[in-house]
Amino acid sequence: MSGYDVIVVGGGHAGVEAALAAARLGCSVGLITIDSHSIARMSCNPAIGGLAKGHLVREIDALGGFMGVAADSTGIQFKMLNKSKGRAVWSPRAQIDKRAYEAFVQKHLTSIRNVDILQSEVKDILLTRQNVSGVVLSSGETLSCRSLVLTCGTFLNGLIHVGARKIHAGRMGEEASDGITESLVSLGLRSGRLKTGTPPRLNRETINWSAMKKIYGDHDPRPFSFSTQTFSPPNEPCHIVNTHPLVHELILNNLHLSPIYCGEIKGVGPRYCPSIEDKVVRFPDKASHHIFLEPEWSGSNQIYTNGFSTSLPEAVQLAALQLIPGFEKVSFFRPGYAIEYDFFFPSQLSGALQSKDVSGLFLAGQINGTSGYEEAAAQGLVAGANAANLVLDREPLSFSRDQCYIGVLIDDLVTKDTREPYRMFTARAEFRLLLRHTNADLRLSEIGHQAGLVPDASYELFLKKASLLSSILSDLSQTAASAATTNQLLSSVLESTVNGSTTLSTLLKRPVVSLNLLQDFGLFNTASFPLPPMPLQDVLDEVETSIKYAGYIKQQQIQVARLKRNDQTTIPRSFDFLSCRSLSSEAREKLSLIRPETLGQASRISGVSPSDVAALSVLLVS
Amino acid sequence: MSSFSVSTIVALATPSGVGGIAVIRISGPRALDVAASVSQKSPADFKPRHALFTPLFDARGVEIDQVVVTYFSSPNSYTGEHVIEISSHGGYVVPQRILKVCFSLGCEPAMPGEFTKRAFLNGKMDLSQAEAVADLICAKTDIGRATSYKIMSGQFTNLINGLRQQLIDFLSVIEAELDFEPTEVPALSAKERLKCLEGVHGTVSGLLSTYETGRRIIHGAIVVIIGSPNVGKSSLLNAILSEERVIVSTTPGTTRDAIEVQYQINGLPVQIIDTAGIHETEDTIEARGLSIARSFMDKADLLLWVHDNTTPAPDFSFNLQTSPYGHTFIPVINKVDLISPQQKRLYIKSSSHMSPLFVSALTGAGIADLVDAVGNLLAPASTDSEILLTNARHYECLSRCSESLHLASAGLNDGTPLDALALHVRTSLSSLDSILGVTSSDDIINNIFSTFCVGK
Repeated sequence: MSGYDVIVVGGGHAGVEAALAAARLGCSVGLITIDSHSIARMSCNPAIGGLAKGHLVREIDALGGFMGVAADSTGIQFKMLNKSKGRAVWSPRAQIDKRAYEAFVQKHLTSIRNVDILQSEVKDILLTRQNVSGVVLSSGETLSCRSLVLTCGTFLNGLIHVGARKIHAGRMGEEASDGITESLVSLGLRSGRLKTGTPPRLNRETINWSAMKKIYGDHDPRPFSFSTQTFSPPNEPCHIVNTHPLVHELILNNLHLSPIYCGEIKGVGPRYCPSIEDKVVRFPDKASHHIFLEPEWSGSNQIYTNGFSTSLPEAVQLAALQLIPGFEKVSFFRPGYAIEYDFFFPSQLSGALQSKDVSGLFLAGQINGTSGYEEAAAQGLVAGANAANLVLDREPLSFSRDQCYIGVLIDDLVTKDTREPYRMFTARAEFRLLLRHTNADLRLSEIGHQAGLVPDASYELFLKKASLLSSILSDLSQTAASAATTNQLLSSVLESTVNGSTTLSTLLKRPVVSLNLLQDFGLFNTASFPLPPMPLQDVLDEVETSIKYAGYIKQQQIQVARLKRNDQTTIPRSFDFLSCRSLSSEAREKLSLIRPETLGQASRISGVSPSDVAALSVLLVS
Repeated sequence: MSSFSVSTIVALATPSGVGGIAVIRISGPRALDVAASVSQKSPADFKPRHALFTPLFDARGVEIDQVVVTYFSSPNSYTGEHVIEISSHGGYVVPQRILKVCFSLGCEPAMPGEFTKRAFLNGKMDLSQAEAVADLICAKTDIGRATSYKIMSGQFTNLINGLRQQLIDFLSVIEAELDFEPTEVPALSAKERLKCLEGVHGTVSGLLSTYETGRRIIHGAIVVIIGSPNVGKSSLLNAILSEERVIVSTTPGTTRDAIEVQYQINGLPVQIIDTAGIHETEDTIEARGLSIARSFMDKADLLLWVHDNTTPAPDFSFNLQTSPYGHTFIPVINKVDLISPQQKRLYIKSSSHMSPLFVSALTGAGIADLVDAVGNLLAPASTDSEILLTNARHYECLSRCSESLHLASAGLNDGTPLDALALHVRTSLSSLDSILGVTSSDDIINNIFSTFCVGK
């Protein structure tokens, strides 16, 4: 029987990162996909990044992942979100040319010597004494492997709904996959059903664009990847239109035709990405909802209607859209639809994304109940690296909540048993002020390099950046400006003046004082430092943030230290929660089901109260 | 619940000793079986929340007593488990025999507080309520009972939950602003933000200010009588108590040790401590008494600083500042029966801090006023609806909450960025959470979805 060290099933964003990470660690990798041309397909919106998701992309990049590099090369509009709301929540986002993105990633993947792409379908999983040993393909052929990473997206028993029409499919026009759910269930894994949706794709030629408001990206675009050196992407516009009460009325009148409202759909959909029917029902007071029109690729004829996700019948979708000014004659290439699919409760996984029951089985992406390309890619990277670590007999790679959004994401998944598709929010990260997109490399490059994921060349570039950062910081804390210059500068921004000379870092603590302002008054000059070949803005942002946020950062570090002890207290695998009388009955039940690996994980399981944690910590010590 | 290895516990719920009735409480999965077994009946004979009059038998089938058995089925019971309450005749023997039978049927003796602990673990009460149960049981006075009852019955929980909800609502807006694009969520104006934070902060500060009173009502207050030798400190104590509790004489230094007396003022348990007169002395026993006096002063909630008319008018303001025990004190001028109006004016004039009270331990003049003044200082009258903070842990949590709220309100005006503002509010929310022993991290995100139309 031929085979690989690591087999990855699925070629979406999780599968790609998993295959690349395992290959980088030196394993032979087989990536099995139903359609090799759809590898790295962006099946929903033509964008990468966004609030909290942008942080994930930067972290994936800092750990040697590929999503940031690919987005930088194929983006057609870049924007930094939340610029007015606090430095920790600034998030990069880009409109992407979907076709270019797929092609770019596929080209890279095929160039990797130890990755084979196999166009086939997995029907069954082979086990030897609770260890994964291989897979059975639809052809009947078997392939052996030491680790298996499942990244099947929405394909497991996928069922598309458009009005009353139901289609068995993984995505519109692509076959669903069956067999994997059944074989996982037979291994004892618990599965559930979720729902998600996508909006219609419109024909550019049938839209009256003069009625639409244009939105451009930033004039000073910033790349996702820390290794992108020269960067001058295009800035293609999106457009915005609004729904109005007549549109809502039409939708309400046809609600009985929506499979969500007539009970046809059993899976739970995401509240943060509601369908247009959900919006008009749940928020009847809102007279209007935005729809963003995004090109699916550069110069695309196909337009994505962000904000109009729906599973109403095609005719109703079209009629509702045609009521909107500019859409009078609109036609579409593809209607919006809802899709139901199987997922596996992620609390069955360890922090390394490996099954707690079946050794060598890793799950990543939508199969774990998440949504979003970035969430999927982040898990793929971790699962792929750990699939390889298992083969190589190395310690698994896992992250804590204070290290990165990836750590928050995986910890939430393994402790919370998501009941709706899980999306990353900055609000989920309690140590948000420590997790900035500008310091993702400072947080993770070292770990990534040690784990073998970050190549030496990228790591050396990172070291140069880190040393530039610390020399600027020490320079600012040691350089004092005279009272005269300082007061001239402060008066120019209407700030209260000072009496003696002041160090530049003290000045920078004031909200309105920036490095640019210091530069304007001749107090600071980047040219006086040895500059590595990279865009400087990241470094300058991080300099300002670490000075302006010093107090908050310290406060968060104290909070981290307080919680650290719980996360470092491990719970033996054989621990019998059911026999712990000092735990509440709900806690006993939840804990014995989820079997947390650490006291920290236990504390984050819903139904486990702080007093249960206290009791548990006593039991673990004794 | 019975699928877990939970024990069934039993204990005497009434004090042991001679009394008309004793109540034995059994809680756990086997409570009903035990009741059926000791009464030689079938479990089906017991209906939830019905009293059943029945004889009770020991292990050999010998009748012990006639009792009333009340059955509370899970989860509608004090502990949330199946509970049996047996009301038997009181005394030393009968309850012990019944307990013995229960033990022989596999019940385990309940540890102190275990019924309440189970109630807490089964979600019947939160942490602050469970803490109040102990206070209620130990209450020394009726005001103490009423104060802890308010907490135990959930009024305090409701108040804290109300504050939590206000902060969660506030945070939802802030977090939605941070996690969604501005077109999707309404922003709060700076004025609305400040109003919300100050509202919560006001309530928290109000609660904090009740702590001294609440603590004294539950745990009692310490009043220490101090003054120079022979000014009549012990006589004053006797006058307050209306009895010859302490030996008095005209010889200075008669009281060498400190004498502690329990007393109630306006329903407040007060420990009054009479100390040795403070002066320079070479008598080692008396010196030891003085150092004891000083250590009591450090613990005192209130000092009664006694003078008599034979000493010149003392400079109270001076003494107050230099006193190593900067406590609240009442200047008491004893032997008022021997004071001239002129001297009286001089005393009043010399006291910049607080008007001295004139008493005569001998005649009893002014003693009632002094007792009133002590009561009012230690526990100002509160309204019936007011909740008093009684627990040191709650006080700690609320103090931390108040600190973070202060930082958050200040941050609204000084350009603190929104993500840092959220940190302060989250910290204050988690301080409230720890009072009740809950966490609300998931509540914020859930609240966003139920309030705003978010998501493109």
